[in-house]
Amino acid sequence: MVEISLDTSKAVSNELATLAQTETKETDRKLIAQVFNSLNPDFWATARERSRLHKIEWQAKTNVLADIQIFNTYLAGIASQIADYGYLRNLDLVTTDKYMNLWQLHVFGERDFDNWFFSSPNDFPKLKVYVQKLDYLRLLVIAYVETYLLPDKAEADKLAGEAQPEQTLAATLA
Amino acid sequence: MSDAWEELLLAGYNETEQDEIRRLMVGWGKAFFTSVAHCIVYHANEHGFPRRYLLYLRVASNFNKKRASKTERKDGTTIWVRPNHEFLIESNGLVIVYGRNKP
Repeated sequence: MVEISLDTSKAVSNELATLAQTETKETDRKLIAQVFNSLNPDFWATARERSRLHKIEWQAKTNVLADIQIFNTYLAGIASQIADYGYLRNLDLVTTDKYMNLWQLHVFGERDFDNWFFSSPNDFPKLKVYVQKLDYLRLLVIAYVETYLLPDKAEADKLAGEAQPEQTLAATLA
Repeated sequence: MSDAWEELLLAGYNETEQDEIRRLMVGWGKAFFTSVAHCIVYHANEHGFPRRYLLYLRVASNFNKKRASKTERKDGTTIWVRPNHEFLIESNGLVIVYGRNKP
């Protein structure tokens, strides 16, 4: 009978956990890609409703359509990077921007928008489903960033912090 | 320095047209996209100008602000809306999206 040391057992267990997380990360990335890639066809399908809402908004001086478009623009910039690369090249900006950071991105909570969205639930059905999908994508992106990207960044920052004295020492000796 | 999105944006255009694209790009921002070119390609496709990027940039640059309503938000975005279904959104003075809300 082969005996396995406690250290070996722990190492194997860690390897399996890492492997499982890598697979889950890839599954989550693919889900974000799938939802992101379905946005444009859904957006095109809202053309008639957007046209009608544009006329109403031009009279009422509200900006529900612009709120949706701004939300879409910032979210798409983030989601497309996760879909394509699995990471964010501008993670710092996305997580620290004063007004448009990942946790501030929202479309619900604006008075005019909430009035439009909730006051007559059956009006503009395609546009409202599109907004719900955007909000679902927002939640997927937040979960991805918090689960995978921020811990990786913290680990990298920690390693960089530990490496710094050696670099300083090497520079001093040179 | 060129990126893959800029290559896509410029692909198929002659040198004069590419220069015009580069000139028009200067007025654009990138929001959270990886580059200005990425932002333009995404919105051109979204708003019915797939593979017609120069046309999209020309139409956006010709947006007439004179008869447009203007809303400035505290996050630095400015929304311009015209009665003919056109809109333009800028962030800190740079365009981040142009579009038309019509079928």
